[in-house]
Parts: sequence; structure tokens; C-alpha cells
Amino acid sequence: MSTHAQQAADTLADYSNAAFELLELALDEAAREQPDTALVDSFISLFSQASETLRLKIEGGYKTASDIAAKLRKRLVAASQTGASDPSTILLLAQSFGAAKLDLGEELSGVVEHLIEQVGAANAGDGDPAAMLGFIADLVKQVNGDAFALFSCFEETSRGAGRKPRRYAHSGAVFRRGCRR
Amino acid sequence: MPIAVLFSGEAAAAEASIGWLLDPATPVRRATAHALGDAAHKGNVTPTMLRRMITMRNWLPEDSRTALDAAIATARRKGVSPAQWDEVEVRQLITTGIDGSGAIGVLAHCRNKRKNVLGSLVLKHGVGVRDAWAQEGMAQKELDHAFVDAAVVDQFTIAQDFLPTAVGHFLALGHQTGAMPPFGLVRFLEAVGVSSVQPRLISPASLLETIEEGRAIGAAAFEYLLADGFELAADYVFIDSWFEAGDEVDAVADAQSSGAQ
Repeated sequence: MSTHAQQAADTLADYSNAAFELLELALDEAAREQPDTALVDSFISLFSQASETLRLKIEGGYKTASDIAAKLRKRLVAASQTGASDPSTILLLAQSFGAAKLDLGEELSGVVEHLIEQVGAANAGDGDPAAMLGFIADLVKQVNGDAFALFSCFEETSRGAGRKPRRYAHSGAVFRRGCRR
Repeated sequence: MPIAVLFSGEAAAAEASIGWLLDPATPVRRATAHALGDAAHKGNVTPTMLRRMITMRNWLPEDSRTALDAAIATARRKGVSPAQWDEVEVRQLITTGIDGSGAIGVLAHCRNKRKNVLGSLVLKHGVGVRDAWAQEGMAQKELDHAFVDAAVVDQFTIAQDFLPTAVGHFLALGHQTGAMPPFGLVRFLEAVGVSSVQPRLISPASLLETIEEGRAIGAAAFEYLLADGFELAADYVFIDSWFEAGDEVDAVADAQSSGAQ
């Protein structure tokens, strides 16, 4: 982790509601007519770190943290229903939540499955298998040929969708969006 | 996805697909093993993949080993030999004490082909191997920072040859709890140069016997203490206390603090 990221993580650790506020900031920016995608990505990255801190607090027995996690789940489900924010942003936020080893719960897992199909269909490129292979080749370049980093990328996306990998056989295109972070 | 990744034509992707052998779902593990058998038939299993498949074989539950054994045998018949393990230099290897959640952290700094490698492991009582990763190409400053960060908790230097015993115990524990180890465990073991780890529980008495000097208690007395754990507070009052954390503790502490002011 870079020095700045560590500083951000340390600062976030002292601010118990950071995860929820970061989620709202990401959703608000993503809902704009012309969202600043770099800003959305930054919010998602910070949300991801705040979610990890939240999980540690939950494991430490803090009920407040469990309540915040429940609020986050509810908010993500609500966001997917309003249609105000870009579905791929909601999917990335949900995947970050899952990647932090926070329980998605049944309702949010169902939402993520639906979003994967939705985002996958949007990025499928008319069902061209060559596009999928091209995406894998692209991802291999992004991780500099590191097999373990590549697997982590696929696994985080799988975990974010409630661990039902069979659904991904026809939705592989969603990984394009999920892993480009 | 494992099958698409395995047959994508990208070597790194094929190597990554092995990770699904450690998936929590039996159908995924079996499908991956069968796909690796097909890949072996087509000559697509590399020496590195074969070495890793052999390394991981006993980590899998018994219900998933047959297909993997077949894939390994096919690769060998095709003339593939497992890749050699790299010669690594372990520069620093520490472990933390057990924390309140039953977790033990291991941090390693190694050198491999003139590159720094940082590896980390989390072993957890009641679970198994919870987390593992390794990253190469780290700057010395980043390594120093990692060890300074880890120094906030008690640290103990350990010998490299203790790792197979420790990791083996938690792999066996994972067989009991159903917790599969992470694929990153392979990377961690490659980083620290430990070529074989077999799941094997070690009893507290056996563990105690590995301490050659400084033992203050014998195995029999130790087993008695562990068996009598719940009753010990009656004889040793000081152990009937623990650090508590949580909202209720914060509320009491705040109230006390306000009262003091």
C-alpha cells in the first residue's frame, strides 16, 4: 500500500461512519449527468478500505459496525432499484463490500446477480467470444502476467456476487468492468 | 469461468485457473480438475502448473482428489515434469502472538532472483488458513514499513523449518471446519521456499515437546491444564479477566471519563 493510501486508511479508521458517507458520495457522483469517473473510482477505492475496517470492527464485536453494514446493504439494494446511478458503479461498490469479506446477505446477493447479467449484457460486444478472450489477454497484461493477481481479480468479482460462479459462464464480460481498477 | 480462463490461450490465465481447485464448492473443484485433465491431454499443462497441482493435492478434501490425480497422471504421461522450486533466501520470518480472535500472523521477507519478496499469512484457530499472499519487487522502505506496522503486536522470530508444521496443522483444521485455504498460500510457500506442506494436526503435547529449552511444564500437566480450562479461574483468579471491546465498553468508558471531569 502506498504512503498516501496508508494515511487515508489510518484517517478513515478514526471515522466510524466513513463507509456509509463514501457510498453516498460514490452514488451521488455516479448519478450525475456527466460523472467524474476518476472521482467515482476514488470513492469506490476509499469505500473498499472503509469496508475492510468495518469488517474488522464487526469481528471485534462492535454492534455499531454491524448496524452500519446492514445500512450499507440496504442502501445498495435501494440504489439498484431507483436506477439513478450507473449499474456498473453499484456492482463495483457491492463487489468491494463482498471483497472486504462482509456478508452480502440474500437480498444484496440477488441484486448483484442481476447486476452481473445486466452489466455483462451491456459489455458483451454482441456475444463475441473473441471479445472475452481479448479481455482476458488485456487483463493478463494489466497484472503483468501474475497468475495470483489474475485469480484474485476473478475471485473478488465472484465473491461480490454471492459465490455462484456458474452464472458467470455466460456473463464473463462483466469481469471487464469489475477488474479494471 | 475456470474453463474459459484455462483455455484462453494465455499462459498466466491457465496458471491462474488452478486457483479454483481450492474453491469452497465441490462442483467447482471437480469441474476445474476435470478441465485440467483435458488441458493435460492437449499438452496445455505447464511444469509450473503441475508442480502447484501436486503441492495442492492433499489440501483438497478427499471428494475432490480423484479427478486431480487423473489430471496429474495425464500430464506426467505427456512428459511434463514438475518445475523446480526456486532457491530463496529468507531474511526475516516473524510471527505474532495469538490475538483475541484466535488468529496468528506470519510475515516474511525473502530474496528471490535479486528481488525482495514480502509474504504474509494468517492462521486462525477454529478456521484454518485464513489468508495468504506474497508480493515481489518491493522496495526496502516498503518492507521496513511493513515490519514496523506489524511491530504494534508481540512478535517472535521463527525458523523456516517450523512453517510446514504450523501450516500443516491449520490445513488439517480447515479439513475439519470446511475452510479451504486461499490460492495465495501457494504463492506464500513459494516465496519462503517451503516445497511441501501436508495437512497434519499437531497435539498440544506434541507441540510442547518441540520446545527443547525453557519448558516450565511437562506434557501431562499441560494436557491436564487444557482439559481443566474452564475451572482454572477458581484457582487462578487473575485469569478470570479479559480485555473487552465494543459499544458497551465505549459507553462505560465515556461515562467514567465524564464523571472524572
